[in-house]
Amino acid sequence: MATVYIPTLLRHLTDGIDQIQISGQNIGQVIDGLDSRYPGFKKRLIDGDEIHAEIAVIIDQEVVDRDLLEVVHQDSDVHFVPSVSGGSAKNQESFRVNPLT
Amino acid sequence: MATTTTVEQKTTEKVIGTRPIRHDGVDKVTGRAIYGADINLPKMLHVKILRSPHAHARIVSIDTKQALDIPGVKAVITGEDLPEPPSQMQNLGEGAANLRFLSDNAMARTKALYKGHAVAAVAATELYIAEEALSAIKVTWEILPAVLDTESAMAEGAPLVHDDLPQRPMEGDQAPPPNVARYFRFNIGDTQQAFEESDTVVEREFRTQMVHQGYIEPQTATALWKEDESLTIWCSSQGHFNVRDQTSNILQIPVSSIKVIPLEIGGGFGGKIGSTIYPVISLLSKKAGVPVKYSMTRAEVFEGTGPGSGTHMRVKIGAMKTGKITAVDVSLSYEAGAYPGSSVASGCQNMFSPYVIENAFIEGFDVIVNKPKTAAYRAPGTPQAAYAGESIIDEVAESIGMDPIDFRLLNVAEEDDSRVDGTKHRVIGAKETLEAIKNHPHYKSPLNGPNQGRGVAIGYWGNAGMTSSCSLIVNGDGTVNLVEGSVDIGGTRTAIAMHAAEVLGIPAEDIHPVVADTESVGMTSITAGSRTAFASGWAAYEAAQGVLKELIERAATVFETTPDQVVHEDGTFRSVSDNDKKLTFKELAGRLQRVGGPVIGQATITPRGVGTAFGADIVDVEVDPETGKVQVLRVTAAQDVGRAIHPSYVEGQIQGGVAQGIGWALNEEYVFNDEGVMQNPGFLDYRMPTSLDLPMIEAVLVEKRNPGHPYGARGVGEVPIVPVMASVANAVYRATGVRYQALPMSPGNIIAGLTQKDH
Repeated sequence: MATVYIPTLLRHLTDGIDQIQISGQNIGQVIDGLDSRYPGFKKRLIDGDEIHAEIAVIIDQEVVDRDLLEVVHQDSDVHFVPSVSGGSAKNQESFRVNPLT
Repeated sequence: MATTTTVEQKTTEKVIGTRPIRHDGVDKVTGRAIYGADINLPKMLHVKILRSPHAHARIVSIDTKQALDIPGVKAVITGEDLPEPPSQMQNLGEGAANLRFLSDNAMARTKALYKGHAVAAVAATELYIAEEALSAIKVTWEILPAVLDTESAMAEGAPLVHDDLPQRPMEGDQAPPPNVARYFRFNIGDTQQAFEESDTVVEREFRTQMVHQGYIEPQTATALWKEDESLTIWCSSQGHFNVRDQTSNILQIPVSSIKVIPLEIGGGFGGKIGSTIYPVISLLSKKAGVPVKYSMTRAEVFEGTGPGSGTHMRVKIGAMKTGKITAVDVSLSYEAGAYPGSSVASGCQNMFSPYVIENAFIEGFDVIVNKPKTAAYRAPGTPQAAYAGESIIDEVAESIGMDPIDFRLLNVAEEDDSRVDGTKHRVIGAKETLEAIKNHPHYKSPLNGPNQGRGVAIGYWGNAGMTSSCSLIVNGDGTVNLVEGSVDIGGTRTAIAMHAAEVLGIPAEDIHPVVADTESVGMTSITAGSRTAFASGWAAYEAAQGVLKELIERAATVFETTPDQVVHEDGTFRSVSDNDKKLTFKELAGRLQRVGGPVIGQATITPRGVGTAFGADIVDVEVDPETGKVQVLRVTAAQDVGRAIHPSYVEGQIQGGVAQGIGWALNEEYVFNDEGVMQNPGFLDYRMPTSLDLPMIEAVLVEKRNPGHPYGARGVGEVPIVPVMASVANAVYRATGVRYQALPMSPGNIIAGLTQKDH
């Protein structure tokens, strides 16, 4: 299973746990698995059919595309970090807040 | 002057690592190269833009009738002419932005959010007529209180720049401060306990001012919206596909209806990634039915484009007497400008990336203020944070009596060490870069007089990959046309061509690179993120591999054998079984028409394997205690470049980055009055360094290959600016005894610091 590192500001969703083992063949499946165990991740990480534009996904130390089909291996490390710079979120409700919050 | 330190043994490359003359050199030095302002089309109109005189004001009404009545005025638009775009994110390459805000920044609809915010635009037959028409546009303003720095913007009860934006808790039930658009936090280990166990703890506050990239060519573009609803834009930008997509999204027209033709660019440094001018001139052309051209004045460039953020930073660091860093506690607040999106996140991620930090609390606030919306500026967000981080590192090293380079080496990160965001370094050259400056004769040389000081610092930048496309066409005379989509900044045409030349075994001069428009080459991301030589070069490498494979098949046909019986060495194709059967690249190219026709290759790649980069400086200064002037005496800048594709261009990037950093350290700043009006929107008063202000900057190329690139290259364009302000500040400290915790260290600020020290 892949190891997903939980961003500091999302650890309230995991009761403070900072690493979680999740199975999935691509990043979309990993986020689905994460969300089913700890609801709230999908809303914060996915925007439409891709990863939120303000978030960079790093799989095995590579910044990958925002596509949900990006391949995740059994022993992959997955990080979600803020993108280099950015604007606001897609809708008014989330304007004020970093999706990694 | 430059030296190269090769960490690993050089390979046998014939073209990579050499210094061919740049393909665009003749046109550039003879003035024949075509820049944005050189475009002149039949019936073309000239554009002027009316900008807000207020930092924050509601637009009660705009009356354009009198302007339209002026003879020669052909079109006027206001914010109401722009379609209301959906609130949707657009990826700009280096970061993302909300379309609604991009559109609103192009032209204010209900409120002007900074002095210089566009509110109307005129197209007229002559520039002076357009200018006259601006004064005939009547705007009724309701002036609102403005917030001009992060501290006042975040203060309780501060005026809200965007008053229609809902509050959401920052974490738990904690409400964010006013005007905070984004909040980040990285937290590893136990900082509280680590500080308690530290032998020394230092805490400081730092401030930097808004600065501009200072590109010499003002933003300029020409648009023609034709009767068939097709739109052509000629522009100088850092990415014409980005211009196309952004214009398509803001104007809500199909991407297929827009063709963007890239012209030469007179500097960008991140400031020409996104721009507000394309939708405006496109709509004016649509209204007028003829082409329109707009070139900003220098004042408009300062007040109406995206500068780098001003900042307020608090940094606390602990260390043991042995020199081991125990913990850092950091709070960074960056000015986003009038809309969300500063680069504070990269400041948070990168400021301590050269080191192994086991306990860290780093938070960042993206703060909206009534100033121009900030943009990327060379390693966006990181030089400011490095100034704070490397200044306090220097202070801690001194407090425990360690050499500043040895202190850094003791804590330096290597492969598989984690950064504060939890990700791990891959093969990096931070240690080798520090060793390069430690072992350099400069570091061992004495200073030669009073009031002189020497400072060092190191900086990190992550670099980028993104997407690049390239096509190659073999000509009958043995030359190769290379069609690519990366705007050429700093000689990238040649660096890209060298990748193809190396594969094909021909001189770089035999490759003819062309930067093609959006209809003539596959999508290519912006020239930014230090990615172009790395990624577009790699695309050329892949395209050349395809060409080579096809050429081997053609040679096999000529040799009456099979492709597996043909080898390619140094540009010659040879039959394995018959040494007499051989053809040079040129000879084979001349026979292609008879054995199947032209050979082309193409590639589109989104490469992985991006190599991160480190730069470290030694800076000597002399401070005049009477005038406060800081003279930079000597600079040595070492950088982990992976493999220098074209060493001269790499040295140029290092020297350019250092020069910009010296300007940021010593003189450059937006000076605003209390009403938020910039007082120095010109190069006379916004003091950038000239060649007379600078010594020769010695570049030291540390070649620790990036295993993720075919030739080991790393991006080189951005990291050289990162450590500069800190190394200058550390040098000024040793010259004066004053740790300057605000930039710029301009003469007035130097004198103020010396005066305070004396009292």
